[in-house]
Amino acid sequence: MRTALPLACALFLWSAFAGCEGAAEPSRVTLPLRADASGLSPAESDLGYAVEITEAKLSVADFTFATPGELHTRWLRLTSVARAHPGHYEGGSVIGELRGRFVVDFMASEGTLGTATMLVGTYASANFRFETAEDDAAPPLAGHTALLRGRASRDDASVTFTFVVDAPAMRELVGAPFEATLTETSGGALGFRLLSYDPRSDATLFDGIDFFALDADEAGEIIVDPTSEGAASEAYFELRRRLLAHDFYDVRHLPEE
Amino acid sequence: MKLYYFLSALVLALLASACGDDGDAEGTIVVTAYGEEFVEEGLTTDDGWDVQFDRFDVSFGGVSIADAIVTAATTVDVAVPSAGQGHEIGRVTVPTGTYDDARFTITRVAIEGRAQKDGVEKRFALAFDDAVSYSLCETSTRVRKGAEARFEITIHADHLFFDSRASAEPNLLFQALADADADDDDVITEDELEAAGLGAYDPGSDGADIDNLWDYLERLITEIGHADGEAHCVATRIVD
Repeated sequence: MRTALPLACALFLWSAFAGCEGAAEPSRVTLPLRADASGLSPAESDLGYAVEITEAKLSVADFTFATPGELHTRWLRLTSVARAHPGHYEGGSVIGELRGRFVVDFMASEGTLGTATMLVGTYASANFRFETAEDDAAPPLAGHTALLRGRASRDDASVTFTFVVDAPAMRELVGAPFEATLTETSGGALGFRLLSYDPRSDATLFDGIDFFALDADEAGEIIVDPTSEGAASEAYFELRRRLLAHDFYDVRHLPEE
Repeated sequence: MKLYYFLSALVLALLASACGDDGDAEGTIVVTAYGEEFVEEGLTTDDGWDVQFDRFDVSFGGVSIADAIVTAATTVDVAVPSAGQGHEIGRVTVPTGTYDDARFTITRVAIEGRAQKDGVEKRFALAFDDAVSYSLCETSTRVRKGAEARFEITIHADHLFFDSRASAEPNLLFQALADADADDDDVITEDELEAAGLGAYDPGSDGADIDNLWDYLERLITEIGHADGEAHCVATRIVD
């Protein structure tokens, strides 16, 4: 007893000094994460094109979910905190995750990616990493990051489009909105959305892209990919910049119906 | 039994040491601004441009540490060689202890320099007026009795040439800036940078609104402040 007491006191003080890292592990809840097409409504771009997306696929990996506030590296047995550089401090502490590689088909009716493990708490943001789809993915996505197909119309004329986009290697997307408070009894699912329109900035995914100008042969079909040149290359990077921005994604908690 | 007492005493001693204070004893914190060799000696970008800075003025709106104001406002040309020591911008005498509360504000950055490649020289003289407050730096300054400690505000000038705000290992490029010289008079201006698209540059997850090189540089310049070398700080743009 005489020997145990001082050590217990010291360990108690040490624990307190270390920020109570040894405290009981927080409660957690598991929720399926699924693709959610509700963000891909037709939208009018800044150049007046009515853009309808008919196919949207994205190769991603390793979702993490974070609390509000600045990034801190406290906790976690569940996951570690990745740190963007130089895009510093775009989220709080990571307290939820879904690891693995996924090809997200936003228009598919059944798009469950996996089961996310989430600590009970208040969330503010979601993060993930862009990937390159494996060669066994359906072309033209195979070997690339994103595929967007659809139709752009203006003044009674229209073109169909196919954009194939590559993200830089190991490119993380940090800070997609995910505003939710999860409890031990939270049910339903998490919905991962690509947004054709960002209401916060009043911008659309295809702003700045002059579809008709890209249809040089007036065939009514344009294909833009990483090998495109000239105006098509500019359009490619214009779209890529938005596809790599957190403005055009969010995650929602979808309670049980 | 002795081992337990020893361990307990050791832990308590560590705790006391970490808390830092030593009665009324005091020491000095010398605060410096250092632009690293990138600024003082120049750098070669990954696409082969040799960049030299004639001037790299960093204006500080206020610097504090250990609850003490180091300087209210000052401007330092971090392009002036300092033999790796940086430029002193102030010092404060404070109680002994360990401090992690350094804060500083950069109100303006004005740069002037030139880049050369294959016999071509492009000059630039640019000023960035977005004020940025840096705090919660991931470093601490230990002040011992009667001794001098250092807190260095490190200016990462090489970030100005990053081709990505998102990559952990961005390329250091100048060609896009050189190409922005639309009138080919070998002087790169703010207007020309504003008219130049980003091309393959990646402005980051929060960069959807950045669509020209001037806006891109303006954003990069708000991220050049670090502490004690590589320590990050929380950078907050101050909006008028």
